[in-house]
Amino acid sequence: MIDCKLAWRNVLRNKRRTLIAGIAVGIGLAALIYVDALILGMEDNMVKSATSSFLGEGQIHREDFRQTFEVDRTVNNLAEVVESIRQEEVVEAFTLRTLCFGMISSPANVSSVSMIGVDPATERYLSQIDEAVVEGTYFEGTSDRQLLIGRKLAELLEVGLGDRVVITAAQAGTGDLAQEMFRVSGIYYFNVQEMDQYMAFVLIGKARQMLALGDETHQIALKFHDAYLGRDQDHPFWNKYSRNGNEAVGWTVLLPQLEAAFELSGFSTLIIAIILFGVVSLGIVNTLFMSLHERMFEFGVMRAVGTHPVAMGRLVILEAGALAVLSIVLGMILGSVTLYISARTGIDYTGIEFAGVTFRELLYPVMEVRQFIVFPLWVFAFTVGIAFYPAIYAARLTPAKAMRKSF
Amino acid sequence: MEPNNPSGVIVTEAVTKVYSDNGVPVEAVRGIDLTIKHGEFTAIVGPSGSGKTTFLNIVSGLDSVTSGRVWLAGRLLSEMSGRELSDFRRDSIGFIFQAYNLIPVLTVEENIEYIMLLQGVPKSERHRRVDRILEKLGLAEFAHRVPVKLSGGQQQRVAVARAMVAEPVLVLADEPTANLDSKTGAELLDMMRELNQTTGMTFVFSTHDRAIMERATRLVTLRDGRIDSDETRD
Amino acid sequence: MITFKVAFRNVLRQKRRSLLTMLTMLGGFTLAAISIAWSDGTYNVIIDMFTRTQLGHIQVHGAGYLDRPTLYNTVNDYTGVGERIGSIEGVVGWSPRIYSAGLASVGEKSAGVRIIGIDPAKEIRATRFDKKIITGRTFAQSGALEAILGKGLAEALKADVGDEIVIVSQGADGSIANDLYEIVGIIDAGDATSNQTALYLTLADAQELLVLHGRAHEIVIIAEDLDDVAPLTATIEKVIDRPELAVEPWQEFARSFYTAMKADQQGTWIMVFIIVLLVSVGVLNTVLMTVLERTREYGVLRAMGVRPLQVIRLVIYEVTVMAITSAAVGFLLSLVINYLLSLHGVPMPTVFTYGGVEFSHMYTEINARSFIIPAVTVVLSAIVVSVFPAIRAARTSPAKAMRTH
Repeated sequence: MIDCKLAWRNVLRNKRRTLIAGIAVGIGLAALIYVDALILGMEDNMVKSATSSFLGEGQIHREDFRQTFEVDRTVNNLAEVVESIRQEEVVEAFTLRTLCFGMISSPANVSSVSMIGVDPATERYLSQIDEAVVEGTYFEGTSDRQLLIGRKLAELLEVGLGDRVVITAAQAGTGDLAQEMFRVSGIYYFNVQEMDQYMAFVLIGKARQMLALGDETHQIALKFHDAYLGRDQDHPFWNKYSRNGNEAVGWTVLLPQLEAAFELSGFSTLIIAIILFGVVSLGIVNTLFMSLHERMFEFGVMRAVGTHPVAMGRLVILEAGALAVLSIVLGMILGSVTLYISARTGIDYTGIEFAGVTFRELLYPVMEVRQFIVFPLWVFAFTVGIAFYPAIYAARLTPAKAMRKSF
Repeated sequence: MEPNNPSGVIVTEAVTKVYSDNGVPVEAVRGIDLTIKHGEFTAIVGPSGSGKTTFLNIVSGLDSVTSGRVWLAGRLLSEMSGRELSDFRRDSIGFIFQAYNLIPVLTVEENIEYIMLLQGVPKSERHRRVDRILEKLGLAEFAHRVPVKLSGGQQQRVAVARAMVAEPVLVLADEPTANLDSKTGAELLDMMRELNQTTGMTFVFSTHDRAIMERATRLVTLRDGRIDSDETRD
Repeated sequence: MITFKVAFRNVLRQKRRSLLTMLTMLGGFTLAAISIAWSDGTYNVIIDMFTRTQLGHIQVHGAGYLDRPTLYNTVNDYTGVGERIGSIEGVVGWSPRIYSAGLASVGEKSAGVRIIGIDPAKEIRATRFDKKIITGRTFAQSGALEAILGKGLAEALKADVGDEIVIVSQGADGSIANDLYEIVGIIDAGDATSNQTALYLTLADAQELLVLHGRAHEIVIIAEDLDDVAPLTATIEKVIDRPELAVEPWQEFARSFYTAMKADQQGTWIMVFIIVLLVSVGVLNTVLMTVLERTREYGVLRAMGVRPLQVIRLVIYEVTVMAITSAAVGFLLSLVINYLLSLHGVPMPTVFTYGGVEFSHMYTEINARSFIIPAVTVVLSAIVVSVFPAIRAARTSPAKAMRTH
């Protein structure tokens, strides 16, 4: 159509102005893409951090265990549940754990601790403790008094490999205090304070014995083939195992503030987008008006010669569209380049805690198709929308006024 | 002459135009009665401020009257809506301005074609007419050039081509030779006079160029918004 | 000066364009101002909150305690040290504390606890301890074997005021520490973790339990003003003159929060940078186009004999007029907005923790730098960006310029 041809050529006519305006919008788009990618990367990183370091993608407990951590509240019908889970296709791996609060003491110091009884063989598929061991071994010895603690805790207690510590905890049933001696057989480092300072891992058999649990456990930690299941609280799996006094929950329930924080991030991206485009839109309108002003006489001639007012307005809109396309290309290039650079170097937020999760690895922004399709469409719609102001102005011009105005 | 459908290409009756120049009312045109017939090669002259340009704007529908009536090709301009006026200009009038006639980003060919595109003329017919007029006015070699690459005289010739290609009822030219040197201007005017004589196209000029005044068959002089004299020559 | 008058009138001459340009600058200014006010406000309030009510602004420990909090690393003669600190100007209060870990049981329920021994009188004055009690009362007198629980802990133990609680821990002499206390109050310590694990005893009781007579792990100091913390830390160090003790400001003992805060503030600066960038681009566009349009005018000026520098000044003044107006209006606008927002803070849809500290509200703060920084950057960048077109205007050759039209 003649209009499109006209619009493109007009936009390219003043390359410098078009370039400057295009860069402005492009930067806005690039910034939006980058922030979104960053947030996605952050979410990815945090979820992985939270679930694969220890938590698992889901857990099964007795209904009110999470509120009180009472040692008596063990999983109901354990054998049945375990058997059933074994058959589940969606479950990639699972492990049993005992969990209780206790006191750990060495000759040098005393500290409160979460004593966790694990089955090393199955535990290693669920948590990364085995990978985090820096000294000693991951339960490779023969003794049932093996103990795995974090480096921070070891420092605090002033113990090293082979040293003895005593853990005191309350037993199930009677509530009597039980004390057992353990020997430090391994030390791990997670760079997550909660894990490095407040957790102690022992063999589940020993833990059960110490706490008088018999064959019971407090927690079944799960990992799925499809990581998304952990986020989907409506999946039938959760319902299936939340019965008979048990509760099966995904990590979104275990870490509610994480999920909430994600929602917040989505909201902040929106705010940032609005802010950026607010500032940019003024620039666009200014640019369009200036280009109009420059061509006032020409517009007058076009009107004189019989071009409809609507067609004049349409021309302005199309020009804005052409400008938008150019800017989008610029923005996508800029966005890709900055993302590429960040994807190579990563962003160091390690050690920082947000919403209950500590960053353990470098942040890598995540590029998604959506950023390069949906966002540019927003930009396009936005730019064209803003253009209605100058477009209406152009349409309303009477030929005489236009030609008079330019002198 | 019938009062409601007078004959003549342009007929004005007591046309007056007052506009506001930053709050100060200016009577640019005062009560002009004028009839221009088919085939005329008429120049409207007068000093600056005499109202020539305003008058031309009025009779072409580019501007509205404060009072009075204007008929163009038998149609009463005040009865037409903005849209009708637009279409009417498109179909009935060829415009030539002093400068900046052409759309800078379109080639000569595209510029000439533009009006026919607005009219919805089919492609083959458009191309036929464009080729014919380029040929006729000796512009064939510039067909693919953009205006900025043409001399002033060449640009004005293209403007003439565009003005005529849609076969309008009349051609209105506002100071078409003002930016040209005398030789080029004379050539342009000769070309237009020839068109006037061979095709019978009505030409109305607003000018103070002697060269035009010499070639015109009728000379209307305006002063302070009124007709001062109206001379017909052979 | 005549140039200024001309510049001013030029701005008024093309109302729409000037208005749009000023709006751009105004938008940028206001957004930058609010971002900074928001960031500063939230962090300052949060810091004030957790320092004033829990951690104090400055802490004194035995050297190395922060890194490795053992039972044995204590501040000996804490009363003497404390009193000397209390006499320093700018110190509102000080309070000694003892920390240990243990197991507490009420009836059949037990939980791991963090034992905190406090001096009730001093603690009330320094951190308003009594105001945080939600059920029951604060400690009556030392030596009465009373305990106060965090509310989460009380829930976990299903304990209430009047119940008996048994505490087991390890004494400094290696013995098992074991005693019975009466719960006299339940407290809201301010954050979820503390509420879940905190168990308060009087300092004397804690010293008795843990065999730490005359010793304490920490002296918490509250300063009058958050901004005084750095110089005050230095003063305290000098006054107490005990090289084996470490005096730390909150930036050190709340390091994870401090690091997180710094990282977040970086983000804010980057956003302000981008905003200013966008504004500059907008201004560049406008000024450049205006200059090009007025080529003929500048040609006439130069022909008349106006010197290049004066033409440059003309262009720059125009931009400056617009920039300063925008900054002024922006100042008022952001003042109003910040004031409204700062009245009560903006509640967040959910509470989340960052750097170990809970954020439940966002606050804005009306401070100098949330105006000065945007003002300086917006005005400066507008001027800098106009230099290029200004030079272009000044360089116009009169003859060429007048031929153009």
